Amino acid sequence: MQSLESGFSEKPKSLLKLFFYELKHDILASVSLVMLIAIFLTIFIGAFIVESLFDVMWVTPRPLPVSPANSGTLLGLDSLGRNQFHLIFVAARNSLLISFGVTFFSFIFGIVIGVISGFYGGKTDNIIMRIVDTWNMVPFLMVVIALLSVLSRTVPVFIALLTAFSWVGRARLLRASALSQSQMDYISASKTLGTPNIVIMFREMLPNLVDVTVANFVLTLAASIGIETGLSLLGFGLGWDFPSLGTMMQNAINPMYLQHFPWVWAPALVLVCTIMLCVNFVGNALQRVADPKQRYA
Amino acid sequence: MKKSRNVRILAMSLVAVLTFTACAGPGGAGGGAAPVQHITSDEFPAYTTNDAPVLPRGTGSDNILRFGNATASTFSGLFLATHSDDAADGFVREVITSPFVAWDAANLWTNSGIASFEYDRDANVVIMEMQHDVYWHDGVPLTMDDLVFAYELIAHPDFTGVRFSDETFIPNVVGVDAYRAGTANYISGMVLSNNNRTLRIYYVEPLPPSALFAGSVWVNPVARHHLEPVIAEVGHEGIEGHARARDQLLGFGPFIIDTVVPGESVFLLPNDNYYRGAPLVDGMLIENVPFALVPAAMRSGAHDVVHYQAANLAEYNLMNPSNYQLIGWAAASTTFLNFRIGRRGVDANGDPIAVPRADGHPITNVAIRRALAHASDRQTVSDVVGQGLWTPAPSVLHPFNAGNFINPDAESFTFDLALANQILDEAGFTERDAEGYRLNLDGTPMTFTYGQHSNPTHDVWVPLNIQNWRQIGLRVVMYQGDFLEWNFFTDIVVHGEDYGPIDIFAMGWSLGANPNPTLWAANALFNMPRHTSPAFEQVLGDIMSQEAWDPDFLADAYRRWEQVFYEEVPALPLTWNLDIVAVNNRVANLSRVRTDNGHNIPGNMTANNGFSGWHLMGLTAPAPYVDGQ
Repeated sequence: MQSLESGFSEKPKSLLKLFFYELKHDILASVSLVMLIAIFLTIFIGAFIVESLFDVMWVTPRPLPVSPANSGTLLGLDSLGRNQFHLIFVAARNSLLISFGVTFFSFIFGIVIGVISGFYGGKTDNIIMRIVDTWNMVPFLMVVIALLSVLSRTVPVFIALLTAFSWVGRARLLRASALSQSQMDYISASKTLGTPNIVIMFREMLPNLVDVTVANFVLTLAASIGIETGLSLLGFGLGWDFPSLGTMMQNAINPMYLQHFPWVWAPALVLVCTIMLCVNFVGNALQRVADPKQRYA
Repeated sequence: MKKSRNVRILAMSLVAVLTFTACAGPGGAGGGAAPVQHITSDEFPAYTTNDAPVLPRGTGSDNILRFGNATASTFSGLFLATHSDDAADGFVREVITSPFVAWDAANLWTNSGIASFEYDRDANVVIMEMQHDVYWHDGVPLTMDDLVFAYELIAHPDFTGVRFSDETFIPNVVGVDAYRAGTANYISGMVLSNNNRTLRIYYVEPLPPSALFAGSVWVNPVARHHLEPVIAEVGHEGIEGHARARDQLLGFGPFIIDTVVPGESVFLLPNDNYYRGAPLVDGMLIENVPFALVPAAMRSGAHDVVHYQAANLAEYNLMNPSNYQLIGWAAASTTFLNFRIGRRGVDANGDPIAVPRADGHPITNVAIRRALAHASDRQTVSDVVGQGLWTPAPSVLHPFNAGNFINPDAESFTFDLALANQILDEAGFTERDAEGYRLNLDGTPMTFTYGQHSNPTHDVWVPLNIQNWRQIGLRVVMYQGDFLEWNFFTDIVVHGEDYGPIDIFAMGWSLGANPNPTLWAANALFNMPRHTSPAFEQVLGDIMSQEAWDPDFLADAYRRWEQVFYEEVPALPLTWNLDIVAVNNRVANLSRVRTDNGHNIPGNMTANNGFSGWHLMGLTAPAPYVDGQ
């Protein structure tokens, strides 16, 4: 069919192939991808092992954090006497799970609302988008902090709160792509054939939005890690018995800790920075796949 | 809301009290490697020694004492004694006035101040007589009539402050009722001598022995000639906002307010007409400084004198600064871990009163509370947060104001998990669920809710408590899963309706000079457990009764008070702490001053422990010393 239409001799490359093509031309992205996979695997497997072997949250308070050299541990102890090397696996796993959760649910909402809005267009689109605009105007950080100081700080509440504010951007993105797709011939054809709208939207149109979605998913993941650690750093994270990378970095707020006890905050900081950089590089490669104008080939 | 003077919980001073906490020397203990570094209280002298000659007055702008205010409260700028109720403002009030009636080391009124103090039990009259010629800052003589004016201010129906309370005994003065009703324009029970130098205050009901303690009978005069025109102009409601209650307030102490930057700083000039001599410095600058920056500010010579937090000690040990030293003494504050075993209801007259908890929650079982108390590791908190300077409190009484009454042989809550387990087993809590938590007597699961705000003490104590309580099979969870924001927390536990959602919480107080435990009365807002019982009321009544004038009866009553508190366990006292003050090496003659509302502030004292005053404090170098120079 393709060759009949416009003289292309080759079949179009699959998204995966394009992605690997991009990676081949972008050493940074390919290194990042390998590192990211290694880090994620280490974190999840490590957290599982650590939690089954030790009581990570067992506290034996000390006047000050204990350095790696003095404690005979890899990353020292914090002032509650917790082994930082054990803690960082659990903290990183918790942070990642929350970030994945937020990203996943915000995409579910974003996709549903964006696709509906883009597919129907016109009045429906106008109404939905004005609601989205209004919601978008709510000062995110202020509201989240205010709510977190009165609500129970459990994982579902935390994910729900962050999702409630991050689906908006996804919806706008998906709506824009869906709007252009809805003008395509295959949609009109399907409509003429009497396919139900819901089937057209989520079975026929959605697969054509995958490139945009995947690229943005990865970038949103990086943003979610940032928001989660940021809130924890400010003291609005999950409870004291739920370690996260942000709560580990919180130690650095004390000037004395910042100066003299780097082992209680630096590993978490390095890990967050590494993960976010890797995710961004991979995400950028994916974005190029989604957008032909940016591609190397 | 009645604010009681010696048990007022200050949100601010709480933070101050509870952040007074810390971590110790570098390295610390790790996996049993190095031992915990202890600083003993011996390392903190109660005064500085500096033999260098003091700078003369008038040598320029450098001879100014720079005082850092590291409390969480900031200057509201209202310094009028009758109306002000803020720690930072109170400090300014201390230096612009001088004790009208002074007190001794046991906090009892003495005759060493401006006026003598005597209570005649037979006639039920307090007699005060001026012993010095003292002048207000504007040169007008201070007389007993100014004290009468303070009473007229406080007793007035339109008075906006909190001092019209049983704590000051003012409602008990003869003639106050008629004055408040408007049928008399003076208080008939306050009788001045012809020369206005002697005042007799007659009371309706006989005073309890607590009237002999500083901070009870109101003794702070207010300049009538200065403020009466203000009342004529703006009325009683307008006093608080008037400049004459603020930066233009008259005092009779060693320093005069020069400029006030609300919330930031106060600059004071010396009063050369101070009745005990002119101050040795050209001025005093009081500035706010955040807790965390105190060690760095002291090292750089930004301040001469600042209150230190225990949390700052670790940095002190790390940096080992050479330009300043620490002095210390027992802190006038205390913290209790409260068990919510009642609610605030109303009695037959509609007045608030504690009502025992009736929802059958296991916290009402005294065996549970006893086990919780025995399983709370206060020694570790003292060692770790208090740098070994704190001691787990063995008594409900505090050495700051009740040192003479504490029974050294009284039973206390030692940390003993085995004993805690045994208490629970004996009380019948033997059934356990799959996770090993004990079940209630009726076989249902038990959960206790712990509510707390975050500060260096609680950051350690809360996880430690929950861990230890888990070990004795009691499931304790944090309310909302985490530390609570301070105002949210106090709204629930202090002002909340009913029992509230929190069963266990800690709260601290500033202590007054007077040891009587009015805080635990059934009608007291700050009876945090909301506890009351016949035995409790009996012993509290005894302490406040006329029989308590008998020292043996009073001592016995306090002993019974310790005992009943230990037996009924409405709360667990945390630790006895130290107050520490950092003093630059250029400061001479600085030592402790205990103010009448119970705060220890740096000032200076003579060797016999009597108040001598700020006017003797001097500086021996033109600028604060800087570390490393």
